[in-house]
Amino acid sequence: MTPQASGRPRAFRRSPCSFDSKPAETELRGGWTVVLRYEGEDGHPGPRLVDLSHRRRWDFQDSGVAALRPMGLAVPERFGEVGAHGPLVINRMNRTQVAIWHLGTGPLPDTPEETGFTETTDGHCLLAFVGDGVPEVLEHLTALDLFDPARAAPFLTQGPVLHVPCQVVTFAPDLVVMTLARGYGKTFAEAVLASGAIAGLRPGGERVFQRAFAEGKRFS
Amino acid sequence: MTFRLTCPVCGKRDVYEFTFGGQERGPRPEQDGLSAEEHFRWTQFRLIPNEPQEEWWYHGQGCGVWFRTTRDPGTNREVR
Amino acid sequence: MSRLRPGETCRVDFSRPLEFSFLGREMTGYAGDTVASALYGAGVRIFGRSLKYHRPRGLYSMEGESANTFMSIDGVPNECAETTELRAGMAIEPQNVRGDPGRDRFGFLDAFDRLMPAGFYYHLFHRPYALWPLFQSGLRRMAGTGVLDPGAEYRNGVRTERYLNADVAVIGGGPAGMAAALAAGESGLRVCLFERRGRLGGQMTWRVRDFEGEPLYRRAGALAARVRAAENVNVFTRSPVTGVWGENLVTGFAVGTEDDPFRECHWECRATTVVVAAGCMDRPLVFNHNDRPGVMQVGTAWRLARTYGVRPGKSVAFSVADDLGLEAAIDLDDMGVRIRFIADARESGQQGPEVFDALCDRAIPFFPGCAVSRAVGRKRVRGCVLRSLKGGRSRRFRCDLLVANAGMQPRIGILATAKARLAYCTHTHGYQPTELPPGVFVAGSMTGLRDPRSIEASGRVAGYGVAEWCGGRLKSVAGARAPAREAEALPGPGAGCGIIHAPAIGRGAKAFVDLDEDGTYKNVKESIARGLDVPELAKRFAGFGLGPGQYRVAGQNLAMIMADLRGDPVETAHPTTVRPPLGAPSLATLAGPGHDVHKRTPLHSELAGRGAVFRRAGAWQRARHFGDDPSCRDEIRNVRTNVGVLDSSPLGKFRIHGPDALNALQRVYMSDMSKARPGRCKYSAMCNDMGQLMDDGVVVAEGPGDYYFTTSSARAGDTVEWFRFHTRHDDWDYNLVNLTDVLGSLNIAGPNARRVLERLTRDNVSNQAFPYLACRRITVGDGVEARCLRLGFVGELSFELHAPASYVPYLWDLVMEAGADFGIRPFGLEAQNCLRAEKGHVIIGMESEQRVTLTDIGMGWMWDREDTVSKKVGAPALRACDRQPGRLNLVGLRVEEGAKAPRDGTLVVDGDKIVGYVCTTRSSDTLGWQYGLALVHREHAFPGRRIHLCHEEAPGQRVTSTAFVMSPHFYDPRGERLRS
Repeated sequence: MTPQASGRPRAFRRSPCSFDSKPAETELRGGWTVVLRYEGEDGHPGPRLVDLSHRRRWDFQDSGVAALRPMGLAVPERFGEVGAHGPLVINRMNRTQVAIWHLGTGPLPDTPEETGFTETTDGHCLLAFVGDGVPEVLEHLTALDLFDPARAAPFLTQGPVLHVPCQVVTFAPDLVVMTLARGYGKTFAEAVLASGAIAGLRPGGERVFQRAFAEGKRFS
Repeated sequence: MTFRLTCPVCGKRDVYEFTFGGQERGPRPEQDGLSAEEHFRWTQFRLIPNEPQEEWWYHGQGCGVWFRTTRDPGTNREVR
Repeated sequence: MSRLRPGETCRVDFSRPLEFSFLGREMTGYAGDTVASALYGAGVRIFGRSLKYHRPRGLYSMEGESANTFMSIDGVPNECAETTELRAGMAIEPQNVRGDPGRDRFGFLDAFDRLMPAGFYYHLFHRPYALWPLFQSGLRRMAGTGVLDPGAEYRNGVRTERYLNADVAVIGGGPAGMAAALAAGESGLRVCLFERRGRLGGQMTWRVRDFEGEPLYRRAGALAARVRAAENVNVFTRSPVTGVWGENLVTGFAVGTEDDPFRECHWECRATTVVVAAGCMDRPLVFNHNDRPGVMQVGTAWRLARTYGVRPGKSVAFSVADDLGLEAAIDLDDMGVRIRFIADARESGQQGPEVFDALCDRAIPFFPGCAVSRAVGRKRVRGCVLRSLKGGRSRRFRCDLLVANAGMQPRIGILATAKARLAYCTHTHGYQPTELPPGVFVAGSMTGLRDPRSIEASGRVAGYGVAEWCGGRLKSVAGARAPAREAEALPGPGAGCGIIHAPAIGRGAKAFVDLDEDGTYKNVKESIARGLDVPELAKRFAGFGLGPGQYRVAGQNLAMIMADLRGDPVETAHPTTVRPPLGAPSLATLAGPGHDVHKRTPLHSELAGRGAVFRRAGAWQRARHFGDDPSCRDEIRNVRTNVGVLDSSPLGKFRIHGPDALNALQRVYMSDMSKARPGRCKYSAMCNDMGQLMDDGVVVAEGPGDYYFTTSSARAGDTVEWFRFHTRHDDWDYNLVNLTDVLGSLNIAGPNARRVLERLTRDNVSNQAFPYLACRRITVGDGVEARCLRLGFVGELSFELHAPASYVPYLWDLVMEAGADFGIRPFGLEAQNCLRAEKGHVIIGMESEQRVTLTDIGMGWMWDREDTVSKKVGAPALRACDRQPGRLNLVGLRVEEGAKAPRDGTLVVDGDKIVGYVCTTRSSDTLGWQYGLALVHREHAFPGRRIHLCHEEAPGQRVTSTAFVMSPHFYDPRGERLRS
């Protein structure tokens, strides 16, 4: 339902969070202004915080979810398991519920007609932590064990980060993605950057995330 | 004071992620012919034993699931 | 002052002098010094004055075990000089001192100790009570530690927090802790090692004794290098542990150096297992004047020389009780410090053969079976008296330093907070765990081991024990048996010394059991004489162990002395409970970084741009009003006569779908929800089991088994929990989606609302096509699809647009543009509050509370009384309360003019009885008089009754007024404006 009637591209939509850094490269996509790269970002190896709130997400609930294939994706068998299928990621949240995130650069699916689906893109702030030193940054933010070697990445952890309930997907020690209620987005991102500053955290553009996601980094 | 609870979805977590839902007291009574006394007995009256009891907990900061667990309020530990 | 050059054990860099000041005098220390070692090295011997008697106090311990050396550093009081690392330019002041600590004005108090028996402040000064504040302020000035400056900013530097997850937390970076960490790390476990000092190695870092061909400190260095290189081992130095909590949560804090990006970091480590290798400390020898500057622990003198290169004294007397003390004396002798004599509380023959041989090689007088019974000298030690423990003659020696202890005692604090069961061990003469909590292991010298090989081996045994406990990832279980066998072959815990106190104690002199609180041997006797004959009671009565050093100085000695004075065997001695925090992080650190993480609506910056004054409402920051008029008269008038717009985005919004969705709605809502229809808002409310109003909102059917509903903003976060809880036994198949943050919401309200909306959309929004309580999907602007609900909370024609949050700023611009011709303006929560109150609409928590039910506040009409099948939450309570006398009812009030106006919360009185209170009252421009919503007892709740209101304007100053009871629907009672 992106507004298109007037024909000209416009930034109709606003992300729940914004960073103070100056964007070096932006792109208008589906009504969103997406920052691809911030100034001074290149050559900085440290951890980066990327706003991905414009990426589309869906909630799918059904008492028989285990046997279904929402959007054609296999539902992970166990709670907390994550399936990565091209640009899409499917998180098994509990007995009846999965979340589907479109993170990669592949084709963007429409919201299916099945009643179980609800589009929740606007309900969250979606943040990615990318780069070296991500585990230490997260240690300043949450008591959750996001790098448990006993779990096979990618995996989902649902719990509080800075006391805000989050869904966190660990792809690799240098790639973690989380969603939280949209309303918290602005102040949460500010607190994350303030706490992460001592571990070198800085804002990053979408491109640095796409590079890491495409590499398909996993625990070695 | 701190202890942990085992969420059936998320595993062991710190108690501050959860909301307490009280002792298990059986299903909601039928309302046809339910006396006020029976109703208040079901909603209000509790025995407070010093032994493991069945309890409801809600993982509000996590997966959002209500679950039952048996816990010893004397030691704060869950018992199997 | 010249320093010693102790060689490789030294951690002071003499090439880097650091200037600092003490009492305004310039002094020089070196990089690597602590404040205490720098002061001592610069010749300072009197560091402060004691709490009660103002006795001079010197450097006694090296780890903050007493408050003797607490200093004010750069204006921050109570900094521990012994553990604070010296930085250039520090301005250091002593505490509890008037002027120079050597010439303290209150020093005379020491002679008046007879007036200050144990617990004197409990029975003196309190009568007459009126004089207590006077005494209190006087006592406060004379006693105490540091002084806070209320105007100062102590929250300096970066304070942060860190949360760690580990399979094993090793507490103590000495040889045992390092061995445990290495063993556990090799087994593939995630290990966190916490060491309170700046470097690993514990006691071994300053011991030069030969061990299997190399000095101990090199051995320690090699172990430390392996630990630092180990992949799975995360090492934290300068990180004291504050406690071990339930299920092995270890907490502590890290002190940043100048190179660290933080000043202090609070950390919490969730560990599956804990290895406690906290080591030992000196057990103080209790003798007469044992607090004089110049009396110090073995470890203090030894480390001054070995770690900091400071000559501890010119002529040193030793009174010790174990081999480590002898080793220290021999080592100091080797460094060229003159040892006057060594007394050993043990009998001859109990010394270790190696150390005894070394002693024989030197010409140091050695007195087994003896201990120092008295320190001589008033402000500094000038000599001491030595006595045989068997009685008999005494002998006096000259010395300027008296190193004394009663052997070593284990550091039990961590085990105690972990809730290990501890008992006095008559072999090691220290407290040993008899029962450990699940997953807690003990290793190292705190178990009484003294042989370096045994200490390391015990660490390895603990490390493999931990690996076995954690299971699974241990590479070779068979390999784990080897260290245990190896440890068995090594020497076990050595015999300790059970000396309780020095001979000839008391006799007109003070012998201190606790330095911080000036607790003497005599005070222990006084406590027992009053029947307070166990340590826990003596602690409360005379303050033993209440000071900053806590249990460390007083703990074991107090228990032993009390058992002795009672005539009980020493093993019955129970120490006082040790409580966290064991170390002392600053309060600023515990306060944390102080992030204010809250929710903002999609329009936050737009509202701020229009002068919104924000206020927290639950998790949200919301606009209370705009501009500088908190009474919002213009905002209110604009809605009543024109059109206003409210950002109502925090409103709870949900989708419920699934075969049992209707069952769930019927359970929690009081109305018959089967009547919810597509395109129409059904208003209803939720109650709790006591029939109390919890929430209200509208429900719209969207398809078979598919509903959209709203809740109040405050309840949005609890709605899923509420639904699931009240259906938890039913096994119903329904799904809830919280859309609160997905959808933003704009409420366009006022007589011109429709005209504004018509400019935004091509859809038909006329009164025929879109009547009151209808819900439509409309397309706004360049194709944004929104739910539009025609509701009337504020009592005017109004349209509420619910649209995806990211589009809401765009919608806002459209609305403001379209409404510009009408003079549209935003209104905030206070205006909404007044508008709805004029209309008689309740807000939960303002006009409802614990004592009132749905029917009490006049909303009983919505309750489907016939329905017992759904088992509606609250229905039985409503039935039970239906005709109950004495209930509170919601009524409207018209306040009579002339009197002082009532306020929210003003009481409704009948004679001297309170019969209710005013929930909300405002003076209304719309109505032209002051209205109120009040909860009053049923017998007063009928229209036309004149009631009396009363509140206290100031304490004791009552203001009364009167009002008439009427229907709460003051404005537009027939609802014509809503439907227009």
